Amino acid sequence: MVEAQGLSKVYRLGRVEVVALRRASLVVDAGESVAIMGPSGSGKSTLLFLLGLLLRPTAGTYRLQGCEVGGLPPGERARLRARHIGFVFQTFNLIPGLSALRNVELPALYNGMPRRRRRERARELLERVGLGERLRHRPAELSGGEAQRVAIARALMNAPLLVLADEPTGNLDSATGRRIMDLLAGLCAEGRALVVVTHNAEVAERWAHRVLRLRDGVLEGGGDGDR
Amino acid sequence: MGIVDALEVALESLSRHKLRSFLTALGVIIGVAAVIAMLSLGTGAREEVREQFRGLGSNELRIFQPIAVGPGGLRPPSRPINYEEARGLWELPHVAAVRVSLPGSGTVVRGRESLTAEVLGVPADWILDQDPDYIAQGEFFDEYDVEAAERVAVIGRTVLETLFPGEDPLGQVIRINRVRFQVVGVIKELGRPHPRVDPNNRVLIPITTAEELFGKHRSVSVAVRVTDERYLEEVREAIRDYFRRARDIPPGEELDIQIFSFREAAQAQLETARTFAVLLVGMAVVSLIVGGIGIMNMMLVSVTERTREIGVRLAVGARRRDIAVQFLIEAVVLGLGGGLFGVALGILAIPALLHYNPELPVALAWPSIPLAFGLSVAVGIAFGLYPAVRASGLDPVEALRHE
Repeated sequence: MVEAQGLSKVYRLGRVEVVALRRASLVVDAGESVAIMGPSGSGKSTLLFLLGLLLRPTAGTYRLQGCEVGGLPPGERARLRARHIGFVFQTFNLIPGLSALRNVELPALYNGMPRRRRRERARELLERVGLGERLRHRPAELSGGEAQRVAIARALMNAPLLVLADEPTGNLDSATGRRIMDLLAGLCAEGRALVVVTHNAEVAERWAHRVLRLRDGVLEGGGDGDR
Repeated sequence: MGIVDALEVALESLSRHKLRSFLTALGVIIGVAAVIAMLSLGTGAREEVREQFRGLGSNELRIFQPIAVGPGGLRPPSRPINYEEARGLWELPHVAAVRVSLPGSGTVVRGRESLTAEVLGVPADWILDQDPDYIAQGEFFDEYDVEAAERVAVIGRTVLETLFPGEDPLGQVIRINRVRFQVVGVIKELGRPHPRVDPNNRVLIPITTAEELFGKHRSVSVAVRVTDERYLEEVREAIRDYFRRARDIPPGEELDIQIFSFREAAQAQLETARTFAVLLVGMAVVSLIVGGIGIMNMMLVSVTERTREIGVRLAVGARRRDIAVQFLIEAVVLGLGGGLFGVALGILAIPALLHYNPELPVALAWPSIPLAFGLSVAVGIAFGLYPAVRASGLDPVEALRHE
C-alpha cells in the first residue's frame, strides 16, 4: 500500500545543503506495522512527515495505493491527508480550548463529513478507546494516556489507510505506553498500515512486524529485498 | 470547510479568551458608537438648519441697507430706500412680487387708554399674501388710501380689546404717536408663534402714511420674490443695476444696499453643518481604524500562540485556505460583534447626549446603522487579512515543532 523509492529530502539553509534523508526506500503493506528506529537527528521525523505528505520529497517516488503522490500540489496533498492519513504525536498535539469530542472531530471538518455523522463517529471512536465518559473534557483535564487515546481516536476519524505515530509513548510511563501501543497495533488488524517512529527498543521489538533503522539519513533494511 | 463550521471554530477560539476578545472588540465598539452618535449629531444639525429656514421663501431676496457705525453710535443710512424707489423693482424681469413694508412701533392712544404696539406700514397689495379671512371686521385700505397717504388704520385684537372693550371700533379715532387715525378694519385673532410674541398687538397703516409718521430717514424693508429659484442670481444683479441707475452710482463705486437670500444663507449654513459633520465622522472613523489595528494586533498574537494548532489542523487535512478563512472569520466576528454592540451603544448615547444638553440638535441617522455595520465588517476584513495570510503561510512541519 505504501511504496517509497529512493526518497530524499534536502534542506537548504542559505548556501548550506543539509541532507535529512538519503534515498530511502520502504514498502508497508496494509495491516502491517513498521517501526523506525534511530538516534535523534537521524531523519526519522523527516521520513514520517514525507510519508504523511506534510513534506515534499526532493527526489524519489512515493506511491500510496499505487498512485504517485509525492509531487502533488499542496491542496491535493491536504485532501489526501484529510482522507487517508492519521497522525499521532509524542506531545499529543490536542487543541487546548476544544473538548475531547471536538478534537476528535477535527479531521472531519476538512473532509466534508456531514455534521451529525461527524459527531456520532467521534463519540463512537472515543467510546472505543475507552473515553466514553470524557467527551466534554478539555485536554488539560485528561491524563497523558487519556490524551494520547483522544489523539488516536482523532487519527482514526477519517478511517485512514495509513497511521503515522511519532514517538507515541515518549511522554508516557511504561505501563500506559504499553496500553497505547496495544491500541495502535490493534489498528493493523483492521487492515491499516502503521508506521511508528521510536527509540524505545521494547516498542519496536514487541509491537512491530518489522524494524527499520535510520542512521544519518540512510535507511537500512527498508526495501523489498530485505523482507 | 462549510461556513457554519468555520463560524463555530471562530467562536470557539474567541471564547477561549473572552476578556481579550472583548477588549479587542471594544476598540470597534467605541469607533462604531462614535460614528453613529456623530452622524446623528450632524444629521440633527442639518435638520435644525432646514427647520429654521422652512417657510422662509427660498426664492426670495431681501434688500436692506448696511448699518453704518459712526462716531456717535449707529448712523441712519444716508439715502434710505423709500417706497417709491422700491416700487420700481416690479418692472424687473423674473420678478413675481415685490413686498414692501415699513416696520416700527408707536404709542396708540384712545381717550385715557393707551398701549405700545407694532405699527406696520404696508401697501394695499399686502393683504393679498394673507388668509382670505384676515380682516375680521371692516375692510383693508386700498391703493387710493396708500396713494393719498390717508390716516387710516387696521387694528389687531389686542389693540381692539385694550382701546375698545366691548365697543365697535369702526370709524372711531385713535392716535398713533399723537397723529389721528381712523380705524377702518380689525384683524382676526392670530395664534402666537411664541409665548412672548403677540401678533395681535399690531396696527397696520398705509406705507406712505408710515413714511410721514416715522420720518424719511428710515429704509423700507423690501422682499423681492423671483418667479423661479434659478433666476435668483440674475435678479440679484438686476436689482443692483436698478439701484445704481436710480441712485447714479457709477460702476466701481460701492453700492449702499445689500441683498440677502434665505436660500443662499441656508446653503451656507448647511455647508457649515456638513463640514462639521464630516469632521466629526472623520474623527469617529479614525477611532474605528484604531479599533481595527487592535484587531490586527490581537490576531497576530493569536497566530503566534496558536502556531501548533495551525500545524495540527494542517496535519489532519486543512488546506491553507481553510486556515486563512478561519482567522479571517475570527477577525470579522470581532469586527461584527464590535459593530453590534457599537450600534447599541451609539443609539443609547443619543438620549445621554440629550440629557447632558437638551438643546443639542441630535436626530438618529438611520442610514448610519447599516453603514456602521458595513464599516465594522470592512475593518475586520482589512485588519484580519494580514494575520490570516500569515497563519496560512506557516510551514506545517515547523508549526508542529513550535514550542
